[in-house]
Amino acid sequence: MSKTGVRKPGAKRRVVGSYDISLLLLVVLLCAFGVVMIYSTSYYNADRYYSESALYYSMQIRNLIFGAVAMILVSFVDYHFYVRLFFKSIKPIHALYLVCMVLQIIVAVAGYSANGSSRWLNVGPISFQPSELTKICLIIMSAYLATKYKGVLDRFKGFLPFFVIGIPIIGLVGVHDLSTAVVLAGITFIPPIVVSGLKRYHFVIAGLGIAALVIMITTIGYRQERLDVWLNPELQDPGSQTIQGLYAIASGGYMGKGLGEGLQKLGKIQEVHTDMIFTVVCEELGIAGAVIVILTFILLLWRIYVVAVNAKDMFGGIICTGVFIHIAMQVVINLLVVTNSIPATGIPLPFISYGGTSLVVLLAEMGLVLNVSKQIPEEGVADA
Amino acid sequence: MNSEQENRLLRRNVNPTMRKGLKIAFLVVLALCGFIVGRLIYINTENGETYSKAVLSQRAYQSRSLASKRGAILDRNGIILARSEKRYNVIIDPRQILDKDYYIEPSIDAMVRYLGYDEQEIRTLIYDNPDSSYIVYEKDADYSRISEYKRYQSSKSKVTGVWFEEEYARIYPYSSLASHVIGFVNADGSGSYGLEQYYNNELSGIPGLSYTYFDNDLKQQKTVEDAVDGYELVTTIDYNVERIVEEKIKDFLDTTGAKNIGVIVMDPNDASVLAMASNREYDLNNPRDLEACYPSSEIMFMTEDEKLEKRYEMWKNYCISDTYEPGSTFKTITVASALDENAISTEDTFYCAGYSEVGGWRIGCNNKYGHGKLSLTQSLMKSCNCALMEIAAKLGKDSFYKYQTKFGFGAKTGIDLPGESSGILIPLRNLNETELATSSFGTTFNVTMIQIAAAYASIINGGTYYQPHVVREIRRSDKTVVSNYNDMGVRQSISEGTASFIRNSLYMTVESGTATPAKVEGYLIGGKTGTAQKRPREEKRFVVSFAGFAPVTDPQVLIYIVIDEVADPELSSSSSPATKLSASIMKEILPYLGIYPDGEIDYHVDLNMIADIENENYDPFEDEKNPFVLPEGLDASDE
Repeated sequence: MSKTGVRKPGAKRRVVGSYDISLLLLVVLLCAFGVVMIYSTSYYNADRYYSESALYYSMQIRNLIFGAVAMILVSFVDYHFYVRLFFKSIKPIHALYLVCMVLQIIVAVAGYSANGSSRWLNVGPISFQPSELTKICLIIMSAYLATKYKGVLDRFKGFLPFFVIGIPIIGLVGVHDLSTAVVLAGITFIPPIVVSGLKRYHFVIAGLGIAALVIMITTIGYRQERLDVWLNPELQDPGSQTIQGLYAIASGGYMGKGLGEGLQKLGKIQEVHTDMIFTVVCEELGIAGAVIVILTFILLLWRIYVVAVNAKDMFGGIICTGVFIHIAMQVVINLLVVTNSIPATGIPLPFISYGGTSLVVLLAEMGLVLNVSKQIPEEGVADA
Repeated sequence: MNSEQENRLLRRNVNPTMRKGLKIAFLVVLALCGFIVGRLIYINTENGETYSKAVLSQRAYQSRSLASKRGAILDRNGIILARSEKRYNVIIDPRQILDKDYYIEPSIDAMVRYLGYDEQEIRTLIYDNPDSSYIVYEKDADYSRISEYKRYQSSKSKVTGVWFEEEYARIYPYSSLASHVIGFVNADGSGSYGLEQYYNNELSGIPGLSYTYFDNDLKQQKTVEDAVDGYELVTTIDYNVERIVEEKIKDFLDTTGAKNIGVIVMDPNDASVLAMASNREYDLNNPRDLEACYPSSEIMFMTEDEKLEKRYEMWKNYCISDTYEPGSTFKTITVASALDENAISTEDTFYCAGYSEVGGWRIGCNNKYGHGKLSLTQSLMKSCNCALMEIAAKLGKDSFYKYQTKFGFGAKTGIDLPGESSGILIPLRNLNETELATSSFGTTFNVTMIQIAAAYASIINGGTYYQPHVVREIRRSDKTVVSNYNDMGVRQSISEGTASFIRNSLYMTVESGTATPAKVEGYLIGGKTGTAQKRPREEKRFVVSFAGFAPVTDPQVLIYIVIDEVADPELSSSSSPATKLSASIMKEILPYLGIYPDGEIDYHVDLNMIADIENENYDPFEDEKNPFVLPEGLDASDE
């Protein structure tokens, strides 16, 4: 009775109410690996600057606990809750969108500076990155809109609601943080394209987007510098993290120097436990270790893909698509940056890089996917 | 669209188009991951070796030099004349402070509370220099404030951006005392002039090194080689003698004045220098400050080049660097040489007619009416040129020249100070009859003060020529001796018998000859005056000098004074300023050195000789009719 091409007739499906266990295991594996690598990369700097070598390690474990709680909570909430009427004519997704908008405005106006860009908001003792929350918000929002306007998506008119919702908030982020804005744009605009299949007007939109990107990169000072580093890494200041990252990758060989034996984390690569963590993975665990990490990400994405195409309904499927795009984009951009395949930009490696907000939001997204997987109907159960 | 319709839409099934789209997206990701793995392999194979080397090379050398402490300079009794003291500079790093918002307030607060800085000033400094990491905010901060700050800072992780840099400062407690002997230290830590320059290697010590390297297991190791402190110099300078000499020079400048004054006080028994001073002592703590030697009204109008030139002049050690014609003080050397060579005997007599004909030149004596018949002692007492010319002729030019070099003239004495001149002698081949005659009384050749002092020391001590020196001992900071210079005897210059006769004659010269103003009541003082006319002769400018010693029976102190161009025209050709200055110095330093006045003179005095002198207080240079004019064409430059 199945209408999906993926489910083979007679194949056994999990019962309603169970998680996709392999997805959960992959997430746990990646997070555990991340904590180990964070300790390896940060003990030297943490000891040097804060006299406490386990500082980042213990803070990441704290982040993981918050993230696990978020994931479990989210996985118990029916994903339809976000688009049901909540109070009068307001839906939770609307409220979340408004909160994100306000936070992005605050951070744009009064956010404090880290690395030359305003991205952070201080709430008491916690530094909070609103753009991460915006990611999950836009994933749900985009899924909601794509489902709602599916009928008109093959025309440009159908795309308009995405613009109206996406452009203001992406613009706010993009002023300070272009790479995150690119990820947000992917999260918002790719799901409707996936749902409707490629249409001619999509190329126009993609062309405009790429043009805007090029203009932003070439007109803003420090981005131009990064372009120069990208083109000629060895001619640049030897202190640049791009060339130091390449040194790390190249000195690892196929099997690496062994976990904890890397030299480049000893004060040479800045951001070594965040955006550049993969270079030390290469240095210490070699190409072999790097390939295993990449394969793990591919497996994770495959599990999300499976959940997406088997989802109980299109709304759940598109939510998983959004999560898929979010993780895929960050992994790919991060790896392209550390291998100097594209100009340097600050995108963390999901689950592995150090970072509180990012990890909690990613795990919450996993909670979303788990909830979708939980609702996959068993073979033979009607699609309602 | 009402919510019922919308809910229905939300329950739409996943459609095949979406499955296809997702599949494409997944394949794109796979392709990109493949590309990335390809990049990783490419980077490793293409750059693996060079980049691996780069990783190691930027690790290998991380070193920092640690300052060593420069050794102290002490006087002969252990009084510190120069020492090094650890100083702390406060370095502010605004970049670090501004790095995190939560650093700013605690860091500024700590600076205000523990270092006592002005809050507004610090705030302005930090915000005006956000990109700077190194601002020397305070030099020579006292240690108590620094340690309080450090203690506070170690407990507060948000207090940052202040460093303390250690350096050693050179301190001269008596600022200008013995400035030419001691010298000073440049900003780069090397010594300039004086002992600071001459013994720079011994004083500086060995800087330490702190470096990190990687061992065989590529583990980072840190090694610290501590700095080795420099050696200490124990000098032969006596702080009190030096101080007295400098005071007396100053008094003389205030009352009479002169262009240059140099004074050397020496122990004749080993040629160790007790004091060496001139009228241009400068402040060692501010060596570039001309105020010590020039009025500020004059400095204001100097150009930078002029200032530089004046500084070089100020730093130059007059007692060893400047040369001049010694004049009559040299007569002692001529007489000692001739006696020692047996060219004359102590019994010989000489006749002075007021002039002598030598090599076709008529060379006048200081008394144009002639001294008449003179004993050898009297020729020194009266400073008779004619007798000296006769003596030199008897000695002959070869022996005369031999003794000149034996007494150390024409070559550096080797004193342990930089910038010594060797003086200029008339070379043997040019030392003809006339030159020999004029050289006999100390003209037509140039000497330095230290040469005369060393030569006199060797005559007075009984004939041993010692290398003059300023440092007695070099030792480590823990007082263990590295080397000492107590026995610097070089050669025998004359016999003890000759020396004894000369001492006696010089005693007579002070007692009743030309040097009577050098007498100090209660002491047996010997000495010889000198007056040399500077070139060009017609300008009537003189260098007057006096070399004296005490007590005659057991000489302990030798003093040599040179006054270049006494400012008072009445006195300009008289040796009395030099003899009087000597008396005023000797009067104070003799009791200080433990040589007490004694009323009983236990010494052989030949009363007959005194009777021969017509006028005890006659000073030939005060005689305006003095015909002493050297023949033209005998300038030293003619050599």
